[in-house]
Amino acid sequence: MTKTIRYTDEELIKRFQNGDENAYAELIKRYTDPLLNFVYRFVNDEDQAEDIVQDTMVKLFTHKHYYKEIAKFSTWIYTIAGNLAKTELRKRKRQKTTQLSKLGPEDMEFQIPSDDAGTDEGIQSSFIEKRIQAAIQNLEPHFRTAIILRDIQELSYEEISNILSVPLGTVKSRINRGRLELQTELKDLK
Amino acid sequence: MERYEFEGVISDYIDQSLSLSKKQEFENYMKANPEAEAIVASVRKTMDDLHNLPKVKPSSDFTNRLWARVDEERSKMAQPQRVRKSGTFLGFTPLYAGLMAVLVVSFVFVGMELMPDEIRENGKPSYFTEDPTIPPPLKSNAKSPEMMADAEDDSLDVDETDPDQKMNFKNRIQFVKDQ
Repeated sequence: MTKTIRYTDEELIKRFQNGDENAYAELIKRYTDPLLNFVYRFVNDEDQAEDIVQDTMVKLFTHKHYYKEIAKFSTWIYTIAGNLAKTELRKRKRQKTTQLSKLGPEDMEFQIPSDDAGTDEGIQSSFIEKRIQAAIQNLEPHFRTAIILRDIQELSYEEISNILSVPLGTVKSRINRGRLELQTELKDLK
Repeated sequence: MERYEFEGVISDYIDQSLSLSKKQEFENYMKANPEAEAIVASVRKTMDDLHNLPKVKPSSDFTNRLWARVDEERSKMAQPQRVRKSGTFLGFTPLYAGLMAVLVVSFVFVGMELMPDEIRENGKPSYFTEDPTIPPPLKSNAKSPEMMADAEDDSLDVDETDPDQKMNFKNRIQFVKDQ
């Protein structure tokens, strides 16, 4: 029977720093999905989210020696992805036309799911997802990041504190505020 | 417990990180305020909804595109770093180097112009000589008797016995714009 060794993320990055590209491939495998979901919920665009995750992975390749073992690898890679996502949002904000900026949350109410979405249940769940996604987008960026990392990515408060470089108390407060704002906006969802 | 305090610890209550006394206080507040209980239930539901959001999957060519980019980066990194020509002279850009050269030349030229003629011709001032017969320059205002004797005539050389010469400064005083 062959025994498979499961390396920790920190062991993998160390191996990669020493030239083992298989370790890099394994890190890509482990982190593509979680990072994609994190970035997608943040920027609300799948193509852009993919581009940002690719940029993150390329940065990991070119800047592998920047990682120091004092932090968890997950913290480091989420920080890179989060910074790239914020940069993308800032870029988008600058490009936004006045007309688009006038769209408020009430405009989301008129986004009717397309007819070819499938069953009623499918339509309903797609509608709910869009409402939730729109509510997430309406949160202030620092609440949004904290909520996504905690309630979607399920990271610990300590990890979030390290990723955002803010004290634990601030993380807890942002998550609490974010949850309250989301429930206010989504309380009519049954 | 006040409303703001209640709202501030909802997440702590849901995460079960409140102390026993605080938890009791929180639950008493909920019993007294049904609206508060509804808020907590709504927050719980929101958290569940967030947790149950469908996961996004990368497109089928994601990995291929990524490796193509990685290969591109790898080839860039493998290329020898070209040493960029600095295009500077002693740390100055051509423009500043030119200006600096003009300044230095001007400084030398002005220095030459200000130099006394005797230094320019002989290479050193006349008092700077190795000839022991030539006395060193005087450092004080005191004049030796020999030098006083060689001095040119001045207004003090007046024969006081000659009445015509006495007090006659006609040829010596000249007024401004005097024709």
